[in-house]
Amino acid sequence: MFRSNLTFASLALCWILSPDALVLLGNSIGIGGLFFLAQFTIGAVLSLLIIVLTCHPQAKGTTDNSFSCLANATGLVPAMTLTLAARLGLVLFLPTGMLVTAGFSFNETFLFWFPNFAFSFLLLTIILALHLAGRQIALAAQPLFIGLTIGCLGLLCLAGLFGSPGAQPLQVETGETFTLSVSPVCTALLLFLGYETLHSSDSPGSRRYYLFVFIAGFILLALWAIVSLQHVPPAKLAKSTIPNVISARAILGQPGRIIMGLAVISGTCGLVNGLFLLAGRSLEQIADSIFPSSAKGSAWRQRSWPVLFSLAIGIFMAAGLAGSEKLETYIYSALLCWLLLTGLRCFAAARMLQTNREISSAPWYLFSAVFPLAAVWLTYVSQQSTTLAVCCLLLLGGSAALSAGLVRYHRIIQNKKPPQTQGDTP
Amino acid sequence: MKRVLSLLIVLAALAAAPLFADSVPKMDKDQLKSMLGSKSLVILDVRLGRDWSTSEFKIKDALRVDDGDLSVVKNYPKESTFVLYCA
Repeated sequence: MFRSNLTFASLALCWILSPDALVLLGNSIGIGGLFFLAQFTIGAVLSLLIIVLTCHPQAKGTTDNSFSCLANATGLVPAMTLTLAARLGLVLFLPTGMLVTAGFSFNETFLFWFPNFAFSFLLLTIILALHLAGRQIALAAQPLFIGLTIGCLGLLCLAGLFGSPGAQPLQVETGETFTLSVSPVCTALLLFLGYETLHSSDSPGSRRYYLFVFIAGFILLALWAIVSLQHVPPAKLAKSTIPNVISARAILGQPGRIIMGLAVISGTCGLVNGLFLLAGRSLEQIADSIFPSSAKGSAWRQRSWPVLFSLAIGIFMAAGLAGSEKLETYIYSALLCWLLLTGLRCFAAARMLQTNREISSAPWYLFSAVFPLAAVWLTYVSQQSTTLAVCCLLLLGGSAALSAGLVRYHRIIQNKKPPQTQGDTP
Repeated sequence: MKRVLSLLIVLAALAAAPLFADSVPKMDKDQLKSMLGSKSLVILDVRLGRDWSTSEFKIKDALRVDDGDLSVVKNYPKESTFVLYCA
């Protein structure tokens, strides 16, 4: 039970502990200063409610297939559209960028003569090998990757809080007053993505454990944000493209760089491995829902998804997508689709809660609307709002077309099946 | 068959084109270090996307070139030494 909970928790933490999330946090704390921490906390409380809702014992569906539960509550095509847009968009674009980040980190921190590109491919190959060895191996590796990242960040936090002489006392500029802004709260929601992957059906009675993991994750990130502010001027954090590395260097010098380098590489492994597992599981569940008679959960099918993902990521990296500014837009639009999926999952859980308890879930329905609204707001305030909106619409439109096509094909197949006679039934 | 062969020859010629291009002089880091501070030196950081954003090492005073647009060189005297930094 503990091992299973640990694995699912480490899957949920795969994005929040990734290098890109640390960059987003560093920039946000640099822009908002201490006030961002307050807004970050509001975002965290909203995200905590996701676990309270989706892991509620009464919000449990009739099957263990979480996609089926989502489709039963919201309809097959919307469920499939958002699942495909969020999972496929993320699993293809985010690892493409993140593996390149890890490659640079290794090259610049550990071995300058080792080509960064070669290291990115090496990491991709290692993760693919884990998946080819079996789903259980990949699942077992996930807590190790995430544990190493947590260990590195924890060490830097402790060093920053107690052991470093360069720390500046935290202060708020005179004249500044706290005003609640929407954007930092929405950014915090974006940072805490991943907890919607936890379900009470995954491991019964696990809600308390997941809440503990969430709070521990929040404390770690909040500490990291505070320590960063203590050691690096906010303007520098806000402008930098690598605020996490700058903070680590300011805290512990060269050992800090090495520890952050380890955190970046293990965080990247955790993210790529986690996304492969999450996307593979979602595609499996979709396949099981639409084609129940096909080879359910067969080993070859489980192994084929990571091969396809790796192939696509390898082609993207070789084609130089990571060197293009467009990749950041693709990644951001996939993250916004993940926000939409989170909203849909909350809506489905609220609906199941209402069905099972036969009482109104109106507050939960309102709560589930927060996530699509946050996605719309983040698109609106983005510097490239039009490009981002077009990208999101393309991602959603493509997924909707694919979903509608698959559902139609499924219905045609169903209609072609000869009707069962009474004598056939056992 | 002839068409395939012709296509292959064209592709091979295209692939070999860089071999016939003028050689661009290269400079190692020590040479560059010795020139740093010179007014005639212009360093152009031509790294794009994550190649630039995730790198910890950025040369001070280097000009970042967006999307391969090298028109910025027009703003400098022709006698300047332009160093393109890509990795």
